[in-house]
Amino acid sequence: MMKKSVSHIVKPICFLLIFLMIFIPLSEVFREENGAGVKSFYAEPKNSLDVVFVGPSTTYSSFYPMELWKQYGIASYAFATPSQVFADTYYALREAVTQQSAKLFVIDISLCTFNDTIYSTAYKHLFTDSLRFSPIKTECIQDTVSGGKLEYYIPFISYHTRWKGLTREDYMPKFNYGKGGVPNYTVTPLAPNEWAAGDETENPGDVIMEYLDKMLDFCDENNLNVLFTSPANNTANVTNQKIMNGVGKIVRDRGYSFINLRDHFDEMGLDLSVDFRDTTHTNAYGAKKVSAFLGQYLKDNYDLPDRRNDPAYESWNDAYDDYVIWSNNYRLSTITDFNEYLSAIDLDSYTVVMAVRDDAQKFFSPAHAESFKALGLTPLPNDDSRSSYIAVINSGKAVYQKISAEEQLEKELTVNGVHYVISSAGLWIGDMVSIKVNGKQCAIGKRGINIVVYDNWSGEVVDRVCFDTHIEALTCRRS
Amino acid sequence: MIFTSGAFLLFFAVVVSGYYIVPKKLQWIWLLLASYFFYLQSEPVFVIFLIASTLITYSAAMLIGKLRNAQECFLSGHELSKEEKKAYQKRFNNKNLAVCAAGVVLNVGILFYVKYANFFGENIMRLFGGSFSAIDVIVPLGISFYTFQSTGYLMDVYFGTSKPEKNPLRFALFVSFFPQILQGPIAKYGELAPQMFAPHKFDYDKVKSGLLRMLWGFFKKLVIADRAALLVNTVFDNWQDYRGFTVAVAAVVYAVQLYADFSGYMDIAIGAGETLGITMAENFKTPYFSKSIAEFWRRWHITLGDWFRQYLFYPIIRTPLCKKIQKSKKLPKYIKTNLPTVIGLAVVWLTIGFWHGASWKYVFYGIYYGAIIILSMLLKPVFQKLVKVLKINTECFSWELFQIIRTFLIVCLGYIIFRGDGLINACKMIVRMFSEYNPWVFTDGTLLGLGLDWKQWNVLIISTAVLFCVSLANEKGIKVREKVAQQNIAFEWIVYLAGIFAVLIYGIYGPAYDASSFIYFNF
Repeated sequence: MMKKSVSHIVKPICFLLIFLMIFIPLSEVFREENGAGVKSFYAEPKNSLDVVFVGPSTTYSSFYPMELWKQYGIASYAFATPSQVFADTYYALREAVTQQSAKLFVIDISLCTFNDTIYSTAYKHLFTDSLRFSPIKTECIQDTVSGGKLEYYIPFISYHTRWKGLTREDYMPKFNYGKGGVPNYTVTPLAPNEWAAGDETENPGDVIMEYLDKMLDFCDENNLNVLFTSPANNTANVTNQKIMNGVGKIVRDRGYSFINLRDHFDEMGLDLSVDFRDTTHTNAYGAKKVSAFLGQYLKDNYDLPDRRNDPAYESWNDAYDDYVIWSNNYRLSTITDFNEYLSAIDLDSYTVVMAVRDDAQKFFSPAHAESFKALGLTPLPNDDSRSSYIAVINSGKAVYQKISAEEQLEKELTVNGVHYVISSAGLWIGDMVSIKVNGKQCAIGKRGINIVVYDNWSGEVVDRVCFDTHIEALTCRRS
Repeated sequence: MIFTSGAFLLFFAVVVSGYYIVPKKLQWIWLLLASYFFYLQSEPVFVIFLIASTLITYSAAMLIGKLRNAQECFLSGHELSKEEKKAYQKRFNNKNLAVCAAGVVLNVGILFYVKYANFFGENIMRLFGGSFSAIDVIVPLGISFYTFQSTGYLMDVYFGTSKPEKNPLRFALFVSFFPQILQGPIAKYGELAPQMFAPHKFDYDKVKSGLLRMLWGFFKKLVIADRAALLVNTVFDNWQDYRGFTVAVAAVVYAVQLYADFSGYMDIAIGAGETLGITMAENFKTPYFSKSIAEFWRRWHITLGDWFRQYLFYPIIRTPLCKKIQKSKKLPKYIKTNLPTVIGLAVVWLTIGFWHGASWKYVFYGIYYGAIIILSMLLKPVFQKLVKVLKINTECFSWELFQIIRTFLIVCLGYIIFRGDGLINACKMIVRMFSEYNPWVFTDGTLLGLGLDWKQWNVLIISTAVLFCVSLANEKGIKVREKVAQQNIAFEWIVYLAGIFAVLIYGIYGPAYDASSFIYFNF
């Protein structure tokens, strides 16, 4: 009898544990990737960061902690999520303080212009889902969400409908190698907009005021060293500009520092034609400039140690190497210039396969020839022979190369455990191309030089592209 | 608070925990509190109708009980001749009947007022050319079910098959018991009450079995019914755009949806009852395996059919008129035998039609089934002769299969009336279904553009196949839950986990989904 009773208690508990062991990882698979690295924030050792950035997308789009590390040895993290409303920034700051007793907290006030506690349920999810389960998360949900709250405690309720579209990436562990910074290499040329508000101020809405007061009280109570920033963006909205001035004035009046990054475009060297991905966000090129400027500003105004030679921070140097590859993986797929591409694939972690279909020689220029030489490849002859061509580069060095005007070329090889089967044929001898990586066809299959880049660090094909060097336009195709 | 909401799951967990913690004498009070809390979540004002129905029925039953006691006391205290006794009983019976009728009229009157007053008002005025201003009233959830349940109880007390419940709170629990108040099953007092008021110890196997039954209900409702609804709503809400096989497919998918939806709700309700140690009446017995329409209605919504049979059909055929017909010497035997049944069936099916809703399509829906059942009964000798003449073997699988398919198709046709956008449009839809031969819709991708892409179709087909297999096993007398529980624990748990994750992943629920009201809430 007793045995049965024990079994009736133990069995449901075991069943529940098994259920949770499946459910929790499954929830992570289904969770929409936010790319902003809040989850990775918790992987940082407690109290190891000197600077923590808090705020919305402008934070992770402009402040690249790894660039601050490389240039100034500042150990920092961008604890940010997209469209993070000001109320959430208040809770994010409180959460950050539970993890890190940083020497400085940098708070981006971008969304002080949005007078509500929720931008959309999707963005609210991206914030709350990333937070660990804690009283702060509970308080945030209870305080800022009106209506159904269960989906924020059990996000699977919202995400379960993703079963139809799960991809390989969803099953992979999600990690931000940029210490919160998110690389985006999209370039959108912008026309300059003036900061027409000048020094005029306007008070933010009541919701913002409420959370700004709470935030400043929290900073006072915890004796935090805080720098408030308004973003390096190109907004033309005068009301928003005045509100940012207004918030800047309020925080200054309370004894905190404030810097309007918009006032320092020239010092940063920001170029509106190449450094922005949209009106409100810098791209990776712009972010590197903003980070360089801010790093210097922090060095000049705050007592922040250079940790580059600190043995306790040695892992940061390895992390930087990972970041370079991770960031370059994002960059590759945005490059359309052949020469720029050839220099971008010169990374130790890449295996690059090139194979020609039809012709690649007609507009193969001397500049291309130089880039080929830099990769250890023999340049293609600039003639009309329409040859077959295969080349394989591993860790920036050519491991195989063959050209033939008479025959179709075939090559099968294994590099770092990855199996490649490559075929190439010029126009008169087959007119085809094939690049199979572990059995999967990856070649774009168009005329010109078909390139597949396999990243041995992440274990995946990071770009597939074809440059048509048969025509002067050197058209770049990715589909 | 619908069964598929997180709020219900939380509520249910609290109710079950509390139920087995409170002293056993107080368990039924705990259930009463829980039931009223549950009902109050829908719309607090609805509870007035519930209390009114409870008090009316309780008072009428108590009055009948008192009259009967007084009658028994009088009879035992006086020595009367046979004739005197008969006259006395007749007088008391008339009093009892008057009380019972008053109770029924008041109960059904409330139902009529909130559900049918506008329908009858509009149609009567249309007939006489007047204008009718609609009454602004919302139909309280579950009113058709709890009105029928309490009216049934009152009639049981009148007929002497149940004794009146003296404790009004106990009776209130019988009417409001939360698993069944919104959609049934319509319970009989004599079956449900003794279980409700008996003390219940925590029984691991019963609780487990109840929870599994609920899981099966969630699977049917969330994975099958609500997925099927995506296609059904697309076609039925835009019926002018569809013809031929597209309409036919929608009708068949609606058959799947309605069964999965309603029987899924029943599984959750009955499972919830089982978890609390209370066995509720079954409402479905694999109805789509029926070989005739009469059989279908004995296996579909069983408690409603029983109610009508017991409280409407039998009383009708026992009326003096029907008895007179049966005993008539002038009428031919065929008419004498069948006419009372035809009258009873006609009234019952007209009422069943009305019960489903205040709309002509439901009236016609009732007439449709009534006509089929009556004609099947009247023409039975003709069919039997035909079978004999054509030398059809009726003792083989193919004949049974033919009967099952024939019945299913008749049911599907009825569903077009039931689900259609009004009676006239439903008829037009049927005409459109037969007016075009377009088998290419099965191969040209048309079916993928009706609210379900191929992945959703796959889930619908596979989950319906699972439902079919389980139904087939039930039909063969195999109890799947018991069979699974007899397996090794690893296999058993894999099955349970697969069920839970199938519901969690493939269920249609959550914030992106907004159509989670159960179909039978409307009735």
